[in-house]
Amino acid sequence: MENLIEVTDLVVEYDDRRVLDAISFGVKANEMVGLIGPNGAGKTTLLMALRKLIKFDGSISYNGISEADIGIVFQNPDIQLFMPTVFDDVAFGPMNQGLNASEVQRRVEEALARVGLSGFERRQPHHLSEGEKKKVAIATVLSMKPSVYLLDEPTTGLDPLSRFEIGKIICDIKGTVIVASHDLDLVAGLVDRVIVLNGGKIVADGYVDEILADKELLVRNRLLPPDDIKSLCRSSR
Amino acid sequence: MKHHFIDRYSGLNSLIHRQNTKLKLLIAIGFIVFVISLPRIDIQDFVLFQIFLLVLILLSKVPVMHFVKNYLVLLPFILLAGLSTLLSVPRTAYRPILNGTGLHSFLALLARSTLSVETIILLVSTTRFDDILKALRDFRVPSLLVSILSFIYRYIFLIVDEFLRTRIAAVTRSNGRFGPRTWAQMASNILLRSIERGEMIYISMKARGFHGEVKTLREEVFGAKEWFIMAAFAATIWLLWKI
Repeated sequence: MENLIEVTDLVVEYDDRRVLDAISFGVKANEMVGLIGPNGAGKTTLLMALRKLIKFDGSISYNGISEADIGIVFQNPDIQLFMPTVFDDVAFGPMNQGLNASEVQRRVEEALARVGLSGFERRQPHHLSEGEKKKVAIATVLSMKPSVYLLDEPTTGLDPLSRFEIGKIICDIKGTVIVASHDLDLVAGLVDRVIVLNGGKIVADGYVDEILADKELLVRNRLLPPDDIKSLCRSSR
Repeated sequence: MKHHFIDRYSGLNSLIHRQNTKLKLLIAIGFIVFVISLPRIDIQDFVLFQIFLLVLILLSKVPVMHFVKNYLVLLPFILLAGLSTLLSVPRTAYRPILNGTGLHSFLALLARSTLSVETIILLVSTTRFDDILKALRDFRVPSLLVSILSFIYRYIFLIVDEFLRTRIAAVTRSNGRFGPRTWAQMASNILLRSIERGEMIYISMKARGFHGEVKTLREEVFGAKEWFIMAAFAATIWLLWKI
């Protein structure tokens, strides 16, 4: 099967710093891919490049879809939610897609129901909890029904239950999903394929169980500490 | 951090809250224009209008103290603006002096400003800001202007939040030396972060199909009832003025 998205020799530079260095990979339709790597590995930049939101060299080609079919949820929900109410924010994408009022209404209701926030339409984003903001942020893209979802760190800063709930929401997404995260448990629960990114390069690309079992690889790429965090220093001070 | 600045009471349910946003906006603007453009406003007019506003405030269930507090915040600006009229220079004098004309126009300015400010506070305390934005859009206010207002409303909380956090961080490390230099650095820090955030927000808007115009759904209709209320309101104000 031909890849839905094909990335070849992708290079992104900020000023003189090379953030992505000759990256090549492909993603198939309806595939769910985990993108893991330490802070500063280039995960966010890669997602933005995949949606062609930033300048890049090399090639990114879509097969049968366009940029408009790719939805992206940013890590910081305060960037994703810029309208005065939850309704306006979730309706923003569908309105720009030129849908009629009743369809927009339906899409908003459906998207909010899928993230478990029905009835939040009139709420203001700045008065939501962090978990609620993250869920609304996902709803703003769900309402557009894209073919591809790019999710940047969907669970950072959340309490364990919210983290689990977000995981469930992602499971229910129909379509191609790329989740960037350093939440290895989440990735293990969601995807079959994992791409490890570090220093702007792809370090590994393969089956999730194999990659997550390779402790040496994870430690080398700052995804696992060299010792168990539970044996830090308690009772020894 | 939770804070409410503009529309703390806009979620209440009262006779005033329930009215059509466009109606409230038109009445508020109309009343302010009327008060400002009156050829003269004497103490009797002021008291009557003030009583009328007080009735509306009581009907709105918004605590009177909320008005007092917000008014006091704005008072220095009003006084500053009034200073020039107070010290008006008659053609015959060489330097600014206090005189009857100056005092009279100062009091008139104070009266007009007080009524206008109260009206604005009443409007934003009884109407959700997003509804006001929607009404402005319906009134064909340029969409760029409405979008700017919308972003100010959405992000003022974040900027204040960021400011409060930065201030706490600075105070805890300042060891009692929290001078103008620190303030300046804090301000520049917040400015830079705002610019960065602004760029990211624009990217996030583009990612959801933004092409320069913010579109929203419209719901409220301006019907016969609203026209009637507006006429009744105008007549009441006119009568109060004529008494």
